[in-house]
Amino acid sequence: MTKLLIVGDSHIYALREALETKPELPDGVSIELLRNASEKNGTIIGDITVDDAVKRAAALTAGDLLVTHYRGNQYNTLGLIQHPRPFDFVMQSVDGGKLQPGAEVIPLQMMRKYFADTLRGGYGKIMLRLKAACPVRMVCITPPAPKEDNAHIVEGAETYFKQHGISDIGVTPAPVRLKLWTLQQQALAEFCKENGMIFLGNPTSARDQEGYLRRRYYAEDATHANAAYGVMVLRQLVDILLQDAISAV
Amino acid sequence: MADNPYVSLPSKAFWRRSVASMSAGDVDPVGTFDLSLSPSTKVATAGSCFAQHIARHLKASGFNYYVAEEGHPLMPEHVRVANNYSTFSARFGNIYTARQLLQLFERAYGRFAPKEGPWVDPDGTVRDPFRPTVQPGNFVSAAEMLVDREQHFAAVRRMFETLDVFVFTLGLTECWRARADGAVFPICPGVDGGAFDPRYCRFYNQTYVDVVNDMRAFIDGLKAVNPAARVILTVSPVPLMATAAPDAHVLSATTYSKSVLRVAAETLRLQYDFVHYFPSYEIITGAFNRGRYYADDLRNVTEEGVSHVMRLFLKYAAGEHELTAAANQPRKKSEDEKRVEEFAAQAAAFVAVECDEEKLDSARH
Repeated sequence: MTKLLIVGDSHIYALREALETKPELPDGVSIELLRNASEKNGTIIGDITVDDAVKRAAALTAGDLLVTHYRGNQYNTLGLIQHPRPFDFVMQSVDGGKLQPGAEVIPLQMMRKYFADTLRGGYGKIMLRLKAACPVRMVCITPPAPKEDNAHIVEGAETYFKQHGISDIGVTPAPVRLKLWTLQQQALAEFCKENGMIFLGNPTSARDQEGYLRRRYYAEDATHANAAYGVMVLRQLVDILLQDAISAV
Repeated sequence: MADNPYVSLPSKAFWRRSVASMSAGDVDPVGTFDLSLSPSTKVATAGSCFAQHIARHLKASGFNYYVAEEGHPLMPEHVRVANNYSTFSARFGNIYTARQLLQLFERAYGRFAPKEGPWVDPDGTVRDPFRPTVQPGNFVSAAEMLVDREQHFAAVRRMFETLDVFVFTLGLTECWRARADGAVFPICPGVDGGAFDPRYCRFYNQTYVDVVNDMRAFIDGLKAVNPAARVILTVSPVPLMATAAPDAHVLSATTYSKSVLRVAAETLRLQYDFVHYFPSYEIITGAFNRGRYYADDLRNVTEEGVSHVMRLFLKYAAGEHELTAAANQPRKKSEDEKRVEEFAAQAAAFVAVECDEEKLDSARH
């Protein structure tokens, strides 16, 4: 029996829901999903502390795979809700260098460095601890691409927005959110390359032509993907696991 | 003793009493400086390397160091500082010459559009020829550089139009300028970006007349957009790194540059009642300190020297105690800053709630 040990934050729930749909997976593969624990108002929410995750990673054996899925919403913290000083940045590869009218332009290199530094100085440390402890390959999952439909986001967030008096602020234009997400995944890819981890991008078919998450993979809320998306990611992981097994043969 | 004009002069007029017999830290070469600053006076800075020290100390001393181009608050302050926001009052980088300052002003107001295009590095990244080191890692494209430049010009105009006091440190007379239109570069093309081609670019060493005329044109322009503006001139005590003047020795070339700038500053002070001179040059270069205000390279200024300058600046420009007290107070945040902070907290809280809801939802399963 080979094992996929998946640790991470809220985005792993798309995978957990996917498992509940009992997708077709090869025999002899076991999957364990553990949510990183955090304390909120004196209550611990989540499944496992970082220290325990490191111990679990260390206990994996040949043929297993360690998978991390941390801080997927960092880019949304920066740019889901429209900033009082609307911003944008030039990213030729995403939208041909278009800019939102009237937005303040932030130099791309500054943004890139910010994402890279935030990763290295923050959750990257957890990932490095896991990598150092685990005797098997480690895969890092990038979060699902953003949702293009601002109305969907507003609808899902309406209650919260109203409660906090921010209904009139609105959502950051989708192209800016897509660029923020791209920066986050580029930083993660670079970090993986530097540290011998496998970077796992979104399943190709999960994104539309422009790069957004396809509507059929939307969860009901503003930022997460659904079980159907989770199934595709699980298949990606199983493919890596099996390739590993084939290579070992 | 026969009466003569020297009899009634104060001690500061006499070398032995005010220089030779004083301990170095007590020498005070300020002649006249009758500009008063309050903690609310908006003080903007520009100039050569030494001006960076002035900016840093202004901030730490409780002055209202005015930054018109602070960078987008989405990025934390330390990230913006690392990207040269707030090094000076706008992100113009070092301004070494009077011509450079005048051309910045004219470019910001659309009166001068140099023909020089973007400088492209071998890795494809792009520099602004008129501030080639301002963006770490450079700009990713010419389009980005041009957009950033337009934002920069808007900030420069805002700075000139709304500052109370403009502190400008004159650095050099030597410059490199485009043959096509006289546009001057802060750094010789080819040294840090760009490519040197004598067909397009040539050396020029400004004369006293050049400097005074350039500064007059700038000052008149500044007064036209901000009639209440006042100006403090200083001369950078940092010697030239190198001279390109034909057959010149760098020490003699430094003396020439600083002499021209010092005389120009005095000329301007005497011409305009709102232009003041502060003798940071004299404090650092004066023989009284026996060279100890220079670091081992005999070029960079030590922190002790900078502190001497700023101590006297505080003494003359403001009530020292008033500003020190102000420096110890937490800086009052503007309404905009508060709004941005509230936004950041709300954005983080919203995403946290999203993620927590995922957790709660999972608990149901």
